This record gives sequence, structure tokens and C-alpha cells, in this order.
Amino acid sequence: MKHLFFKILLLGFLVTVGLLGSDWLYRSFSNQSYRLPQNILPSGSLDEPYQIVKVGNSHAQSGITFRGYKQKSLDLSGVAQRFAFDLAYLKQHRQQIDTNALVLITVSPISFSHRPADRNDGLQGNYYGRISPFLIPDLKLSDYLQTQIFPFVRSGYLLRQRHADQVRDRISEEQRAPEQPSVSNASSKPRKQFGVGSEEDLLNVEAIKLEIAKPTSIDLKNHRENVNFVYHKWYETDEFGQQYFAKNSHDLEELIAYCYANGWRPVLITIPVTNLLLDGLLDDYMQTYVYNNLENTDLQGTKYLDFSKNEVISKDNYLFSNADHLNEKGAAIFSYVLLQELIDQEYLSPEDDGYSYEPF
Amino acid sequence: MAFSSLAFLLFFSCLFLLYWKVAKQRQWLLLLLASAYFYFSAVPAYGLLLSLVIGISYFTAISMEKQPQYKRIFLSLCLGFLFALLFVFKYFSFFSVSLVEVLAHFDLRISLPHFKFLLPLGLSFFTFQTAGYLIDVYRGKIKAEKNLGIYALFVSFFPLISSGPIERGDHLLPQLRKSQRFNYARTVSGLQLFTLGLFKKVVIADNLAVVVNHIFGSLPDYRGLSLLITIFLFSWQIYYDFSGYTDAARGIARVLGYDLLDNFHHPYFATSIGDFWRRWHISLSTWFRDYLYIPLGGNRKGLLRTCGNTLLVFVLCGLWHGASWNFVFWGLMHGLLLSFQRVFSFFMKQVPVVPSFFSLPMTYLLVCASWVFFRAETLADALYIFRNSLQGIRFFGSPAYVWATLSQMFTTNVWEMGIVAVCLICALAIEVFSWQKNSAQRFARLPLLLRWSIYSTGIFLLFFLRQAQITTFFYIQF
Repeated sequence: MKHLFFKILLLGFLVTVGLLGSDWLYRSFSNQSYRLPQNILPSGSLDEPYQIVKVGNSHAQSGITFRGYKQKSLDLSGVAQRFAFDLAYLKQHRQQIDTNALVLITVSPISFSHRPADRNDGLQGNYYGRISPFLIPDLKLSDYLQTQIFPFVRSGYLLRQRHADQVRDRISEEQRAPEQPSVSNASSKPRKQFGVGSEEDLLNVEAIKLEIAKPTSIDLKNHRENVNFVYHKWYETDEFGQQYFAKNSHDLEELIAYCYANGWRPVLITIPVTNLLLDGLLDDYMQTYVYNNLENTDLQGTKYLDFSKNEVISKDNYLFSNADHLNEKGAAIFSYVLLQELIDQEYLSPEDDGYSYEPF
Repeated sequence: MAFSSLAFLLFFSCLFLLYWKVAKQRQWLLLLLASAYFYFSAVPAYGLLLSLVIGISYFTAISMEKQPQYKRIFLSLCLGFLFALLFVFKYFSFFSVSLVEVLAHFDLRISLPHFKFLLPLGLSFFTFQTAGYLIDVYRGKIKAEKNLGIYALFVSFFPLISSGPIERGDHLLPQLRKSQRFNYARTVSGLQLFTLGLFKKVVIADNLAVVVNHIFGSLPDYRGLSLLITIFLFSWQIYYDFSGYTDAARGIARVLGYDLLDNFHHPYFATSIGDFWRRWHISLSTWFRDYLYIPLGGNRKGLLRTCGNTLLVFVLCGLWHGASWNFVFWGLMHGLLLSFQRVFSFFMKQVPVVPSFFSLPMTYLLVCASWVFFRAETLADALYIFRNSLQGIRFFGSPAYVWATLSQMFTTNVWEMGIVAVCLICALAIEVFSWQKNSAQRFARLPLLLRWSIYSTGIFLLFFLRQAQITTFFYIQF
């Protein structure tokens, strides 16, 4: 048997040499050097810890910006992020978050009805290198090892992927038509549009108030298509469903409990979506998918701020990149609205307001 | 736990080390525990279902021996239970939906429940294996296994539980009763077979699958030669996927000292459809032959009955693969071709000898045509392929047309074209080499350096040409 093991080891050595060679080839082509695995352990403490943190899915990612907040902030949101990963992220950064920090937890219909993450979840890879493998729920070890620790075993795939990307880029470059100047049929009366000027316009309160008072209501085709897409995903696939409510509610309870255990102040928030989306889905959509779930979850006294049907934002399609995600302008306005609410509720003080009150 | 996953390699390495360390009399117990772990790690609830099947069939076989006067009743009850289970989990939804649709054509509206269970791993395989064992005991061909543990291992043996081969009691049970001794040559040959199986699956089948899945996923965009090429690629994908699994399973079993039935014998070298079924999924085709076709009368009761039996067996064989009309048509097509062959032989006084350079490609083309039903998602998709695959046939010889077709299929990615070409060359090389007599011995006689180059290149390609995610074996869904 020793003879057999020796041969297997020798073979393994030869193959490893070949794989290291191909990995070197890949890294030479793409000018990448081997990086030691990141965040194997939870992150260490900081001299100036974070005072405000947001967790949640793409709604939080695109909908809240801390640019106008005079607080040291940390963004831990991600696309299709479940509560279990919100918790894992908070655990990863526990030592970096200030005691008494404000933790904004976004809840949306997706948060409760998303199929809970498991080993076969394709999105798990998004967290490799960001969250310690010891904290990732249901870690797919083999996947983690080959992407983070022994990347040379997938050099062939990476080389092919790189080439496929190059081919795709070349094709799309060839097919790209010369850009036409865009014609806006939004308004017959020309006015200075919010956020179209300098970057600072986005944080200008007067500009925000102007936009809120007179929404640039445009009916965008891609928003309507997006409603159909969401409707299909929601009601005609098993990616989402009421069968996942209990598990997700339980995960939310754990997340809230963890915040309190560390002395943080969690706040639950629902971010605005377009009226177009709410009208396109079933009448009891928010009631079934959010409000009932919150009633059935032990929120441990946590306050819930619901902006889903915000009168001024939801009808302003101009502020959305698609039917249920705010764009950069929308995020700036919503974050201002949120900031005022947090100040009113005494979670933040007026000194934390970093928005510009200069004339627009 | 896919054979190509790191988890399986760790599992098998641990088992291998332990297996040769435990007392010889306890080897079966270790294998049983390993098989239970393998099965329960998929969906634990279905492990209970498997245990139920094992328990009921074990006691049925014992009862048939103890009370031979009631053995027919025992057998009927147990087979009824096994096939009812198969029906509920695999076919109920299909039949209820089909029935509702048929009745709706006659303006009869009924409402039937159509729930969909997750199919228990290897359900069709272990149901047939258990049924075969019970019938053998009923016929007195074998004795009922008295040791419940050995019997449980026979049904749940991990290399074959998910996709066969469908073993026979008289072949596997005696091996399981014996203790095994480590044999270097057998272990090496088992590891070679296992690696070859993985190579067939991971390198060849999975890379062909990328193109095939892409085109079947957007069929309306493709016409003419691209559809023909896709069917050709699928024929090799399905063959190397399934035979890759069988080789890996046989390799694992051989390393542990057991010989499993062979399932393939160069099916694309068949010179008739009958010959194809003597070479393709042999353990299933012989199961149908021994336990259904022959008891129905086989070919002993006249031409009409023979053709009827053939059609019935092949329709059921199609249904065995999946609850869908596509599989029914796939089986029916094979049944019709075989029946046609029989009718032709019956009426011809002297059957003309067709040279193999003609019959071999003709058989291959017919088999490829049947694969369209097997792979297409719906009957409409299959018909689309039949209607459109010869479109533009007059250009098929034009290099510019061929290049345009390949460019469309591979989105101008020349690397991928090259990889698929290399995969096909490897597939043909493996097929031709293993077709020769004593191919294993011939391989062993190759110069050491060449052999080691082949080993290391093969394993290197296993890593280098694999897909990002582990894909399951095609037949695991059945």
C-alpha cells in the first residue's frame, strides 16, 4: 500500500506543478499577483469605530447613502443578502463598530420570502474574502478552498473566463450603435433637474425639496418591464415563497438580538419602491410579505420606519433605476428624508446632518 | 455527494484507509455505514424511505421462502408497494396533469391534485434492483439473503445507489458476503477506471454540455447545421456522462474488491437498434428483458405479439427515464425501429447482410434522432428540431456556412471551439482504444514514461478543463 501512496503522491506533485504553471500563465496575462486570503478571522478593532452601519439587500445597497451623514459609516449591504449574512457581516466587524452605534436593518418583501441561503447558493462566493470562513453560514468548504486558498486549481476556468469576457466585450463593441442624444419627454417646461449639475447638487437640500415638490414624473419602459420581471420571479418561480417566512423571521430575531447584545441600536427600515411596482403586484403584497411577518417576529422593541409608500418618492420614477431600486439621485433624497426622521426620533442629533443648505 | 467533488474524495479516502484496517468480517458493516452516510447526506428524509424499502423487501423475500404456498401473494404485494412508491414520487403529477388535459379536450373538467416531490436519490435504480431480487427469489434462482445488513448493503451500496448499474442478486450478494483482501493490481486498475470515469464526465461530457445546454436553452435562434451539430454533441455528452458515472462507480467498487456489472459496450459501434440495446445501459435492458419481455412471451408467440411486447417494453423503458411524453416518444421510437427490424426479418426469407460501413452510421443516425426526444424540454422543442435541422442543407458543404454556424454556436469564441474539438478527439481516442481486445493489458505494456504522461495529463485536464461548479450526472435525475 505504501507503494501505491507513493505513486499517488508523485502523480499529485506532477499535476500540481502543471497547475501552478497554468496559474502563473493566467496571472501573467491578467497582471494579477497571488493574494493571501483575506479576512480569515474576524476584523480587528479600529481607533475610530463606525457609528452608523447599514445591512440588507440591494434595496439598502442602492437606496441609502451616508454621504450626507456626519458619522463614520459602514456599508454591509449586498445583492440578495439574507438576514443570516447580515448577522455574519456584523459578527465579522463587531470589534470595529462603536458601542451605541446605529444599525439600519432594511426589511423588504424579499427579505422574508427569499429562499434561505444554503451550501448550493451561488451567491455565497460573494462573501469569500469579506467574511471569515468561520462565520459564513453553511460554508461550502471545497468552493472556499479553491477560490481563496488554492486558486491554482481553477486556473483553467479563469483563463477561459477571461478569454470569453474579451470575446464578449469585442462583440458588444462591434455591435454598439453610435450614441443618440437622449430626448426627454418628461416635462414640457424646462427646469434645472435635480442631480444633473455638480455632485454637490445631490446633497443640496433646496434641490431636494424642489424635486420633492415637483417630481420629474416620467414613465419609463424599462420600469414597466421590470415590474413584469419581478412579478414573474415572485409568483411563478420557487425562488421566493411564503414557506420561507418562518426561517427568515427567526434569522431576523437573531440579528436584532445580536445588535442588542453588543449595545447597538437597531432600526428596521423599508425603503421606497415605485408606485408602478406596488400597483403591478397583488393588493395585499406588502401586508402579506412584510407587515404580517413583522407582527409574527419578536422585534424586541425595535422601531420600524416604513417608507415603502412614501408619497413623494414612490411616484417619482426619475429617482429609480428600475421599478424597485432607487438610483443615485433617489438614494440621496431618501437618505435625507431618512436622516430627518432619525433626527426626529432622536437616534441622531442635528449635528449629524451633513447636507448642504446653500441656495440652489 | 458527486463523485467529482472534494467532499467525495475525502469521504472515499477515509473509507479506503479504514476499510483495509477493520477486521475482514466487519468490512460489510463499514460499507453499510458509509453507504448510509452517503445516502442520508443527500436528503435525510429519503433515507427513511430507502430503509422502508429495504425492510419490507427483506422480510418479503424471507417470507416467500418460509411459506412458498403464499409466495405469489407476497411477491405481488411487495412489487405493488415498490411500484406504487415509484408512481407516487415520480409519475403521479405527470399522470394527473395529463389526465386533466385529455379530459379537458372532451369538455370534462376535473380537478386532481398534482403535488411534486423532490425525487429520492436513485429511486428508479433501487426499485428495479429490489424488484429483480424479489423475482429471482420467487423463481428460486437465488436464496433469500438472511443477513439484513448484507441485504441492506446490496440495495444501498453507495457506488451504485444513485445511477446504477442495476445489480443482480446472484452477482453482487455472494461478493458482499465474502471478506476482501487488499490486492495492489486490482486497486490500481480500480483507480484507473475511476479516473477514466471522472475524465469522461468532467472533461468531455461537461464541456460538451456547455454548448448543448446553451443551444437547447435558446432553440428558436438556431436552425440547420447548428441543430445537427448540437444533436451530435449531445449524443457524446449523454454517453460519456453516463458511462463516466458507470466507470467511476465500477472503479470505486473494484478498489474495495467488488466487481459491478458493466453497463456499456461501445454502443455507437452498434450495427442495428437491437445491437445498440445490447450495448447501451446493459443492466437496464437486460432487466427489462428478463423480468418483463420474456415473461410476456418474448418472441415466442408470433410476430404480432412480439412487436406488441417490444413496443410495451420500450414505452415503459422510456417512462422509466422520466415522467414526460418526450421519454415516452423516445422509447416508442426505439420500440418501433426494433419492431420494424423484426417484421423485416420475418418477411425476408433470407436477411441480406448489410455491410457495417453502412449499417453502423445508419444506426448511429437513428439513435441520434431519438436523442432529440430525450434531450428536448418539450415535444414542441423536439418537433422544432426535426422541422428545422435540415434547413439550408444545400449550404452544408460550404466552408463559409460551416464557419458562420460554428461562430454563432460558440459566439465566435475560438478557444471554446478548440476545447470541444479536443474533447471529441479524446472521446474517439478512448472509444477506439478501449474497443481493441485486451486494451487494459495493452495500456499496461506502454512505456512507463508514456503511461505516466497520460496519467498526469489526464488528471491535469480534469482540473484545467472543469467547469466552475460541480455538475451532477445526467442519469442521477432518473
